[in-house]
Amino acid sequence: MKNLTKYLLLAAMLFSAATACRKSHDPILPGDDDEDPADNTELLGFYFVSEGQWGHNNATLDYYNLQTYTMLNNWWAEINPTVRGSLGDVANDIAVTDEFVLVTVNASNLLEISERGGRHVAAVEIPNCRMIACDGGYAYVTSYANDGYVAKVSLTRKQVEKTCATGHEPEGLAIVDGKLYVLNSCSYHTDFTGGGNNEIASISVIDLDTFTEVDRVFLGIINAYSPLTLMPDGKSFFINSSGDYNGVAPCSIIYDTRTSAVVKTFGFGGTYADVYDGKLYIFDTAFSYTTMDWVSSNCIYNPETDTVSSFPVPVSAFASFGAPSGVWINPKDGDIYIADKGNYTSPGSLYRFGKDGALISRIDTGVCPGHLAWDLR
Amino acid sequence: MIGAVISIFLQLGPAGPATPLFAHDTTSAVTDTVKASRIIHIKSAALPVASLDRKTIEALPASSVADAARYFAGVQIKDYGGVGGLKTVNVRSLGAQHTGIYYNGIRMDNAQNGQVDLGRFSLDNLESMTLYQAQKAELLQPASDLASAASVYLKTRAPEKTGLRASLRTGAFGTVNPSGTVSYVKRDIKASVNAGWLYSDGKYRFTFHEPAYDTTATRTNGDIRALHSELYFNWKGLTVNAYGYKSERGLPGPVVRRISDQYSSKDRQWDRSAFIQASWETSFPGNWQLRIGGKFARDYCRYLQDPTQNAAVMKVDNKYRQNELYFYAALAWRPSDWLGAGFSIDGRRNGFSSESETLAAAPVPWAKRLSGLTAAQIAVSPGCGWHIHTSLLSSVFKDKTSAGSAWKSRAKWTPTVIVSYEGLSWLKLRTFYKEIFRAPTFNDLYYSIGGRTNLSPEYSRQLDAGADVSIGKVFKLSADTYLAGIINKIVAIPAASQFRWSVINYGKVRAKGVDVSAAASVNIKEVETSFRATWSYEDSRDRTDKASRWYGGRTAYSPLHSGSLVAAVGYKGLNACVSWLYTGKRYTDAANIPANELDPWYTTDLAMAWKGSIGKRAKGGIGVDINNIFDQDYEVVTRYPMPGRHILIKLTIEY
Repeated sequence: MKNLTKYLLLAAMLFSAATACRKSHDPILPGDDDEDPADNTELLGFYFVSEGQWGHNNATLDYYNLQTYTMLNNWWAEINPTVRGSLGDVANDIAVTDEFVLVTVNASNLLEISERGGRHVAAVEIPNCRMIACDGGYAYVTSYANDGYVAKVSLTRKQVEKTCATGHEPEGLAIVDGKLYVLNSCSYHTDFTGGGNNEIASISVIDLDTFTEVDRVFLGIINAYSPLTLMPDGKSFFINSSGDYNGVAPCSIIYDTRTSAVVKTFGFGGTYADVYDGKLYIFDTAFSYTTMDWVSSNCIYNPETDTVSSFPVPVSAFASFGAPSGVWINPKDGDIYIADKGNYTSPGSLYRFGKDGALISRIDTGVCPGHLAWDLR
Repeated sequence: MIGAVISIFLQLGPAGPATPLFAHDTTSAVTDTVKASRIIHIKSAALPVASLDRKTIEALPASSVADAARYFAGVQIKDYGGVGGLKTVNVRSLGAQHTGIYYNGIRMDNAQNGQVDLGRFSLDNLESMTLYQAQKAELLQPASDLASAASVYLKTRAPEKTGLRASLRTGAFGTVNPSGTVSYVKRDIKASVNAGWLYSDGKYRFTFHEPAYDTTATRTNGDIRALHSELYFNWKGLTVNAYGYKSERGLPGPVVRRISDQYSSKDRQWDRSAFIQASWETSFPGNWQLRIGGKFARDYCRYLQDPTQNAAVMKVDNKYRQNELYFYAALAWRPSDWLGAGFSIDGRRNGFSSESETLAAAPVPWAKRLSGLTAAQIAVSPGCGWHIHTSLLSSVFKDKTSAGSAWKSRAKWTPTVIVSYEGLSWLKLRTFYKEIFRAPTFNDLYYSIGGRTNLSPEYSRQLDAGADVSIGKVFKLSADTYLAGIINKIVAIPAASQFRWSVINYGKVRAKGVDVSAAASVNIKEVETSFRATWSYEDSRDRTDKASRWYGGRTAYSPLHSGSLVAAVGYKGLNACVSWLYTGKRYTDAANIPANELDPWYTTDLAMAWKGSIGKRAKGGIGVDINNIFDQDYEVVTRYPMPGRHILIKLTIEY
């Protein structure tokens, strides 16, 4: 009896040793051995999505290690060599929960669910999927199909549980105070002939318990092709409007969920935006082939003082860019990351600038770099 | 018929008078009936020329015009797979828009996108297909014949006697392809009508190979049904051709990661096309020759992406209509053996209109283009076998659109100089320099929102030097080396959003290469054998932006090496032909990284046929084509898999 117990104990020890070893062969994220449950205070790196070129099936999910400052290109593909079709065609958004990393792959019509360490777990079919928001064991994914809807995906059962119809072409979404806010961009219902027959963008307010739309607020803007960037107060969103490329100029607004109203309008577009240190960094720089010059309205907006100041990185820094395609600010040290799509078919770059706007380094990415999620533990 | 088997494999290299093949000059629509006192076609036509004539086309395991074109050196066919997939010709990696396609002597244009889909032409009714680098060195040709960096001339069969011909092709992919021709020949009149129907379900199994797994699936939504007919009429110096085509096809789209087939492409396309063209050639005393002609064409295309069939897509329903009116007059004067001159003037009017029920579209509802081309040519043969041929083309364009702003260009002058030495019977040397451009198409200028109307044409330059070696009728070798470049390449790049594309002149390509073709034929008693080989080396590089990481990368889809081998044997009524085609590794983008590699591919095809008499007057034949014998999995265009082994049977009867 004594011997049996001894052997059982030995077996148990060997077993746990074996599984512990197996665990350490798992992917290549720093801090994997941390026993603490996620308290989201340590920034180990970031996940980075490059969309790929339509029809080339070359979307990529990479990982940038912020402790060693190294980029692991093709990170997800190398961890998952047996997933048929790899990540897929045209990735559109990325979101991170305590357990998972989620990526919408639009032209493959699926939501990819992987472990934080990169290993593929499941893929959920959602046609024409766009952006993701997560809360309480669920992922909410917008889709342009069927005149626009949002799908509620259970992260435990890895399937779509419910859908809720929204307005046209829903893009960005966010959860505030138990409600899901979905931005109906109406981008495809814009009259690009300049005729003025544009559908007005709106926000669908969806109650998370019943998962039904309880309100739709019209925003007075068109072609709201934009995420919902959460402002420092945690209750308002910054939203971009791209205009109709004719008489209606781009603009951007701030929408307050508490008053269900637009509380601020800027006379310029804000294609990319991020929040840092209580301020909103607005980035809108593109090369105009009509004027053959860069057009830029980059700035920093301080919501407390309602003032605008200059963006740390000068426009001259973008002279060598093909097309800026995203801005993200490191929440820990304020470094500014700006992506460059280049020529849209060849791999692009991600540039790291310091808080002061000085260029620090260039990072290789996949084709059409565009989406980033911080790896906070 | 037996003698013809020999000749098919020797139609390489220039069709100059030194070879016995000049009598079968396949380059002019009206050569057969010209009884002029002196043929004005330049005797020195020493340009890189490759030709496939009727017998070769019948012997090769090719079931479409695009398949047959693969046997030319330096040619890449951009093939999206399946019977109905788009197939365009790309010569020396200059791009499909730089290759001119000529149908019975008259240029085929597509003002909307600048590309001609070779899949529209029936191989059954094709007499010959000839590829010219640069242009024909002929004094009597319309100015439009000088307007491309390379030219492919398709000539349809002229009737030889009154009778009837019918064929049926069937086999793989549910193909049913009956075709028939009725001909009438009496004294000076020759007429024929050809009609064909093509159906294919387009289903084929394919496999993608990845390092860790294979994916096998079946191609769907690749079906095609097409009705096609051609008319030919000839009386003395007048030739009239008419052509009609009507089709519906599915577009299967690229194969990408997916969970189910629910959202795979259900896109459909309908095409209707008709044209009538006429040419009249005559000669006058004093060594003058005149050729005039015209063409009227109408095209319709509808492209549909229907969310009720496929919930993942946004509604696209575009209808495009095009019409073309074209006239030309060409005059040539050959006062002596050592001097000749040619002058021609072309006028063309292209109209385009679009109707769309497509969300977020803003294409220009209509656009028109007037083009005026004039060309002057001089040929000098100073003696001792030297020939010099120069031409100067002037092109003017003026557009008009519903949007108001439109493209307009001042006269562009583009020269060509050809020098050849043909003093020896067994050796011909040649060199040429050609500058030409392709004008921006309606898609380039007016399709994108906020499109620019100040696009420059895309210019190409070529410098070529080569030689032809022939040993009697037994062996022939043709080799050319060239330098080519494109500047102001027109590219469309998506701007801030998926709706707004910028179309700009942004791109430079530099290429150098070598094209070699060889043919040999050996007869042993009643058994004839023929061999044909081509090899191309092509180093085409992107030279757009010196500051870019990808500067100097190999141009997308340009293989370093490619080639073909064909061996045929004939005995009485039996014919067998085996061919091997190879295309080397390519990259899908100027970024030559492993992720963008497309594996080299080769296919081996076999054709066997028997032809004989049935009764007293009729002739019949039966043939089998086994394509891709070794069931190779390959892609020409990334994510568009090509069919594996497939068999087609053909029955013919002639009366």
